[in-house]
Amino acid sequence: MGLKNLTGLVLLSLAVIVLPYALPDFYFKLIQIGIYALICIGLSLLLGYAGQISLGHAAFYALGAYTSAILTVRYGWSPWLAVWVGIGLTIILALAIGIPSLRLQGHYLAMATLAFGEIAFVVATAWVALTGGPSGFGHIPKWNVFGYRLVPPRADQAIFYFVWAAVILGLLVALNLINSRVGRALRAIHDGEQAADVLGIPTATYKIKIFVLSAAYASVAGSIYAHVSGYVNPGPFSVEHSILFITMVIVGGMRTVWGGVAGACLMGLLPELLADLEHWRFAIYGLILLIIMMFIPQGILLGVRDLIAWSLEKLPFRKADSPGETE
Amino acid sequence: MLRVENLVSGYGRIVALKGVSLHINRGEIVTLIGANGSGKSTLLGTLAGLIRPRSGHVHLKDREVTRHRPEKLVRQGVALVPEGRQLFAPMSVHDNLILGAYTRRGDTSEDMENVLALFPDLKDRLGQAAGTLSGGQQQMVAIGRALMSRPSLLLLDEPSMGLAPRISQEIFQALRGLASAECSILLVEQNAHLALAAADRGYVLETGQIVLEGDCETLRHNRDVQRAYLGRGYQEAWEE
Repeated sequence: MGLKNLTGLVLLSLAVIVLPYALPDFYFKLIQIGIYALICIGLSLLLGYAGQISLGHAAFYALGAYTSAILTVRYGWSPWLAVWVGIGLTIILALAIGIPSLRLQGHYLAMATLAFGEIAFVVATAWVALTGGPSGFGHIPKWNVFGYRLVPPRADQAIFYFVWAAVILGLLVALNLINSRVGRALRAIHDGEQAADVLGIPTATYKIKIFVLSAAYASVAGSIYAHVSGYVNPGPFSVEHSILFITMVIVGGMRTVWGGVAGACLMGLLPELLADLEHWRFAIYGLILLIIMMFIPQGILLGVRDLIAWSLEKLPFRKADSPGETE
Repeated sequence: MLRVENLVSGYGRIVALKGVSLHINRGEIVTLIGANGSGKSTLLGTLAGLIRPRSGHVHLKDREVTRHRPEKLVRQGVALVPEGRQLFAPMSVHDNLILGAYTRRGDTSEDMENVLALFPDLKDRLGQAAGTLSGGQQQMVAIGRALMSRPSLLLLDEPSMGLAPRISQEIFQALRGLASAECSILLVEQNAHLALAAADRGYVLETGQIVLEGDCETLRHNRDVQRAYLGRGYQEAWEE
């Protein structure tokens, strides 16, 4: 996996452990952001390594959330089992969408997932008997982790640890994948599909597999969300949110899965800062995306790294500093 | 080694190859010369499996491989060095080369050594991003990448494109050394001088059809070839 990534994971783990003690008034805001980060890790595999866009990740997120909610509330399943059913359903749907659209070159996946996202949102809103409709679905049991129920009032810390443990696990899986023969093949597909074809890399199969994997990330995030919040409604699963996830990945940097986490943190915290601007929020998102695409197309993570490298080079008196890279 | 019969192929409604037949014997370097738009790249693309032919047959080592997908053809020993090199620019030279061995399981360090022995220039640049190399070095990486799959048939699409004459010479010399009982070469070139000097036999392709074939010596002395591809005017050819 490489020393850099290992160091990054250790540093992130330490930060996660320390944060609730260091910033007790702030850390719980990172629970939702951790859930977004999990989706973005999967999405960055798809965007950055397979070069494909999915506008349906909020729908896979919804699929995980509603599957977990319905199975645990209506049928009394264990959340641990419900997650796997959610993943299974997601894989089936992702294959059904991915196989026809990824065998073609071009942006057919974006179109197909856009349609799927819309349909899923309509189903979640209109199929009241199943999903509870716009008023939502409540009383979802909290997750039971090793006999330790994630319930208030002192539960925020446990939930925070649980969510970020999932993020770190997700990173571990993604990083292992990237730094393998499979990862090299994926990067090759991103850099030149036809050249990859010629080397005997089955490009269509790879794109389908990576799409399914990234959808599964979103599904797991959805299940976690359902059990953490205890309540789901269609609100956070609109296509708008799919676009938000893509924005997070692009802002963070597509060339590394760490970018997904960085983007989720930055974009997740921005609404806190922009809360007063309510209606302008998405306009500001757009503006930030535009600025980053124009001036730091490699994303903030690599952008910051380059900036540090540049300033170390240009400012000789700062040579003594050691760059604190996170990549 | 390779036998192509009556191959008809093209893109969409455009028929770029109108019944091409050719063969390559074991260990031979065969060149295919022709002007822009004569169908050279379509032929290579079809042989590599990127384009599906309308009709005709391709036999590799006496086995029919017509309409096989690219990944299957690579496993059967066909490697294409695409036009314009098509390296994975942000990836290192090392990773580019290793990707060439994608279809092979097991140890590839020996092949890596062979490639580096063939192109010693690459030795010090293994960690460098492929996009930062010079054109000649990039071509070396592209050829090396194709060799990593241990091909029995190497297809090259205009390896001299955009290179200084001296570098082209160097690369063609390396190709000469490559052809062996294990590896035959089909070389597509616009630079007929270089191609006819390096190859054993040649075909001339014009608007999707083979109009001439023969050993390189004969082709070099053919009036039409001289006029059209070797840059000799009517007058010079006539006076000779």
